[in-house]
Amino acid sequence: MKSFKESELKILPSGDFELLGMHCKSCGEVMFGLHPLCLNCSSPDCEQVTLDKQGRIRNFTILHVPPHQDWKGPVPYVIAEIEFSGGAVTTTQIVDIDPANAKIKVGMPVHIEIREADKTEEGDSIMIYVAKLLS
Amino acid sequence: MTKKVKMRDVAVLGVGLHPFGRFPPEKTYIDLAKEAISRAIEDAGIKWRDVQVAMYSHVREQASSAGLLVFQEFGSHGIPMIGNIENACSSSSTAVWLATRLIGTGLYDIILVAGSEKMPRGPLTSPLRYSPERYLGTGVMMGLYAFMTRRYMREYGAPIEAIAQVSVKNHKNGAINPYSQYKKIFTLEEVLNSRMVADPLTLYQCCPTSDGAAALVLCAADVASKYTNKPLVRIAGSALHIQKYSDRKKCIPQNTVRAAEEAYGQAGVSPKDVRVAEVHDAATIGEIVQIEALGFCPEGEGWKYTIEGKTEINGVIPVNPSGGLQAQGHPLGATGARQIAEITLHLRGEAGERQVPGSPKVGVTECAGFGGVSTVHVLVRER
Repeated sequence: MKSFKESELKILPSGDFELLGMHCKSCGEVMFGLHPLCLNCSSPDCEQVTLDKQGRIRNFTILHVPPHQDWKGPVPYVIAEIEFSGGAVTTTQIVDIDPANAKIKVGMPVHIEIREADKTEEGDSIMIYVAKLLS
Repeated sequence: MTKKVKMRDVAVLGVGLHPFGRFPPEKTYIDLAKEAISRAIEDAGIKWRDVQVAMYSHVREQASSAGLLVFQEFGSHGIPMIGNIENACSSSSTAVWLATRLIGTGLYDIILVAGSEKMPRGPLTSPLRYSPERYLGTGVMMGLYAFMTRRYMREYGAPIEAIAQVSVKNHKNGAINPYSQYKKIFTLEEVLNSRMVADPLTLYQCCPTSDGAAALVLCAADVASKYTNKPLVRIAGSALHIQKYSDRKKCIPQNTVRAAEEAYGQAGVSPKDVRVAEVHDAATIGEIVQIEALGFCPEGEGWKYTIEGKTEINGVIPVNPSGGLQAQGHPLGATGARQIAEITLHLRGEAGERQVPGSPKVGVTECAGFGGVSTVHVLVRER
């Protein structure tokens, strides 16, 4: 297994994963993913952190059209902004959900899982992170 | 922020459009742009060889130096030409921002800005062809606008009916604009009951993808009278700002707030002086948040202002008399220049059936773009 975006998702040898973030020691901002400098104040004085695999829905929508011609996912489908403790935010899909009947609300807790998005030419899995409602 | 240098006054000498809509594949972005440029040149009263710099904008043509193929159709007389100035939906307004500074500082007297686009059907998505966003379906523009809509409704208690009213108004305006893609009037019920795209945005709250072109001839204000005796429309304010990371804390686009402050300051006007505006209504919510950011009404009240009819053609500040992106259409590279053309026509009193009443003297354009761009231009009629 390998990560589709190594600056955000680290696949461990065990098959488990870590969500990567960055804490700025200068302004205190915690942001999603690794970046050359702090996104808030451009300070280089940042440390890598591992984010919780649980977050809360900050905003969401249900999309009723396929996003592109090669789309293999469900329609309709749900995308959401997920906020982690410390304030880092990312946008991902909420999977395994029936958009018509799910009563999704801002503030609901989710947990993060990884899924195979694609395969390398050698047949290795390329992984992305998705969110699932915590029931 | 910007260094204070003495700038010459810059004017919009000529405007030209190719109608927005869907045209056969063999009518290329080059054909569309040629028509818009020919009209702008004629409107300006100049000859092609009077142009000293030519700039072209597109977003999705997948062609190298796309604009050079357009400009060379007119004969290449050795002037600097730029094949593409790209800044998402704000591309040709970014070119105007650059051109205004090149003329303002005295380097050139006459610059042509053109933009055109041939767009495929279907939703506008993440520009990255191979990315997690593509697999997750998160990079859909209307999904991002749906986030904005939901947040706005939560923070300010706005009903979707008020936001959807933007579509009703803009389609009404577009119906009398000969250059618009859609000339159909919708009731609020029809807008709300159209197919759901990105909940709560229905199809008629999302702008279409379009073919089309727009061109502008910009000049130093003191040479304008050599070419035309039309009313002089000055670009009195021109600003480009980018969303800051910390701006995410605010619902109202702070890039536009800052751009508007800079552009009003350059022009020496306030939002109260504005009598006509073209703003970026890619989704209905866009117009609501942008009229607040431009200072036309207090924060959180754009939806009330809209349902009170204050942004109608006969309202206090008519917004998107063209029909906006909602009805006139949105060929990405052409939109920014198209907005400036529209305001120029209103200030000259040449906008035909959709003309804003009361001989407006001050108009504003605001063009937003993916990546957090916002360009604001303040246009003032001098005579």
